[in-house]
Amino acid sequence: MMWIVPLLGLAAGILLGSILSFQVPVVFAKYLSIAVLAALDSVLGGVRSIMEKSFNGIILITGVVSNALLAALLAYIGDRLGVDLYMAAIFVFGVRIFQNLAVIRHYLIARFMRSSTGVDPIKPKHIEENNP
Amino acid sequence: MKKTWQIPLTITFILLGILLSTQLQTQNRLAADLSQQNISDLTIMVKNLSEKRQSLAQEIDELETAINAHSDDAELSAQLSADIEKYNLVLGKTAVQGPGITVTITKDSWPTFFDLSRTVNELWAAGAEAIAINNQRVTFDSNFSYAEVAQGQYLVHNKQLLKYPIVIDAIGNAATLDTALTMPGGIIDTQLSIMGVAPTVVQMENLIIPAAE
Repeated sequence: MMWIVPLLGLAAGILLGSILSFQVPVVFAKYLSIAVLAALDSVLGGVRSIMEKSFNGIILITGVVSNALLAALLAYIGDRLGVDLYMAAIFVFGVRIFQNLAVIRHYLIARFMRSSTGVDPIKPKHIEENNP
Repeated sequence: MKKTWQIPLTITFILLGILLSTQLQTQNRLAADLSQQNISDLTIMVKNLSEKRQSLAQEIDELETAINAHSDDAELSAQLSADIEKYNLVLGKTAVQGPGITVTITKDSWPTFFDLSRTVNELWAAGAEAIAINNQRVTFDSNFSYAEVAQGQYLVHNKQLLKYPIVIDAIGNAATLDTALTMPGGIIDTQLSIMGVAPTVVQMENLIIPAAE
């Protein structure tokens, strides 16, 4: 039940974005996509940290913002330099998103099994800490 | 503990939502942009558009043909009304106005009705559009004869006595009509002069010949 408020926030954000409908120039679409990827990774990292009970709100918020901006900036610089840095960003963030999702899934399954059977399942393997 | 993680997470989720929807819109606009389409899609689009263009060009052709057909109709009706005008002229249904000649035969000569019919036929042959004798229209079924009324001899045109001077009006090319009558060896020179008929021929700028009765 406590997840309802953040999910409402997500819905509100999407609604807000579609109402405001920022006209991002097509040239910047690529960098925006990297920023979205970075933000998604950071948010999932935050969810994971909640699962791991090591959550810190300041770190999450600053992490989302700075990750998104830095990722976009890095991709832009890469374009200026003629290096496809955005490929690296996509790769790194993609891998991290899947890792975070896997950890979240493990924790959820563990919690479910604990509550339904009372048996403590195998504790999820601790994937190396790379949260913001 | 619960409250502390919910608020920052909600904020980040809002940010993520804004970013996501913005990115979706941008991507939609990108997808609509021609330069981002792949080649096979563009090929299909070009094919469809050129087919549409061809069909439109065909439609233009058809419409132009229809327009031409209509203008042909107009031409046809113009032709028909010209024909009607021509036949009205021949039948003497309408009054005619135009340049022509006036042939005047005075009383001091003795023309026969042959002379009248010869003169009229000569005028027809010279391209007269309409002829009247003493303001009576000469048509395809006019006839000439003579009659004696109260000791006097008269030429008759369509049962109407012709009083002197007999005036023959003819509308057409005035110079041609004039020459047709007065040329050396022409009708006046060779035929009418035998009977001492010496008609005066005057070219007129504007003659009015009434319709046949």
